[in-house]
Amino acid sequence: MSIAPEELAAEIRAQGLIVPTAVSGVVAQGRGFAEVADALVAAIRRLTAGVGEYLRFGAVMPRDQAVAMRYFANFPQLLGSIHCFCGSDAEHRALLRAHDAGEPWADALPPVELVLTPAACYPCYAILAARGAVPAAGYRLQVDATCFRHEPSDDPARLQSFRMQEVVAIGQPDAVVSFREHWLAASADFLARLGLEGDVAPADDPFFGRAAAVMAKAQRERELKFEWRTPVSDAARPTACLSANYHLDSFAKAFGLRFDDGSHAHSACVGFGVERIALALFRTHGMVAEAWPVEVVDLLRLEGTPRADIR
Amino acid sequence: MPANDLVATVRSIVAATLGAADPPAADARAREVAGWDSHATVQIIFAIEDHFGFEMTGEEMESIDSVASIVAIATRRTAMSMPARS
Repeated sequence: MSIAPEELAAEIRAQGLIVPTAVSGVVAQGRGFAEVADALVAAIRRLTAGVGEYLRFGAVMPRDQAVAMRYFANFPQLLGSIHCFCGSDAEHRALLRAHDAGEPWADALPPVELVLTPAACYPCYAILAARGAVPAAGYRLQVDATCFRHEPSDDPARLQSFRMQEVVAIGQPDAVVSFREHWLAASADFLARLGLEGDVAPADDPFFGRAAAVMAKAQRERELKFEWRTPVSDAARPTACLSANYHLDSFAKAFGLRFDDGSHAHSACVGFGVERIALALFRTHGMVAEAWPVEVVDLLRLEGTPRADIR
Repeated sequence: MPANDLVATVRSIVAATLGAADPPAADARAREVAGWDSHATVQIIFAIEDHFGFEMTGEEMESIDSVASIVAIATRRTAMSMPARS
């Protein structure tokens, strides 16, 4: 039984599928939700199995790479920076004294060489660049990561920490654009087979500050970003569950990804937002996964999940 | 500032921002100039604002697609800031 988008947040909390924490946009997943999300990850991995090399990244990536990719410049409001104490015993004592006295102490934890991974494909470009010249056929990859974006919100479809799976192409411009088109269509078809109804629309990223209008306009004019959207938690504002992006040669230039002739490669990716798709499934098919349409259960291979384990 | 000086200043700022050895032509369009992408446009906007001492509106920022479009904005905005002659 489908649920109205506006009722989703209350319903999934009432069912224990999503458990809020003290921080907006940071949640625990109950077993029922986690089982579906894990099944979805596996199903997407099966869907994209033939693409190419598989890389799973963690929640962090090198800071200098995020800087080189201009994430810090374009999206400083979203970037998560890792800070750690690196001091001496004396500095530790000073830190504790400051804390115990109610004084500011966070300055004792300077930024280290890591940031939180903002998108699953971001750490792959430097790895590929280190292999030397880009092969004539380019690279094709599947990548997974736990990602972070500092967007505090009580909207269950806008988590700060979430899983993202992507397929990535690095190569000649025509080839990566064709790859993006193919995988956007194939991925949308996959979601349709899961019983989800949505539309593909041109999109732009949430760039920071006054530059946002310029950057967003360029993205739309050059058709660099498309999203597949479906109503999840707000009927009036459909949620992007797939994102198909063409980076031109910007990421290749950041890391020197060149062909033998010295020309820069281009890159593109199609990303799946795992939790958002899972939420769309619960909204569309109801709160109990075993009761979902058999073709959805089969596609996700959920049939083996003991009912008692799904709350 | 005389019109020719203003055009030369804008061309110089664009070249400096792009790291180009030669200034783009006065009638150059962004898409024709190597390295002049949307990131560069943002940097050019900030450099122009810093140099002339005004802040562009969103509409002005979005209208920038050439040297001439920047010159038009700078001409209009610097004229607005000049004291009226009685």
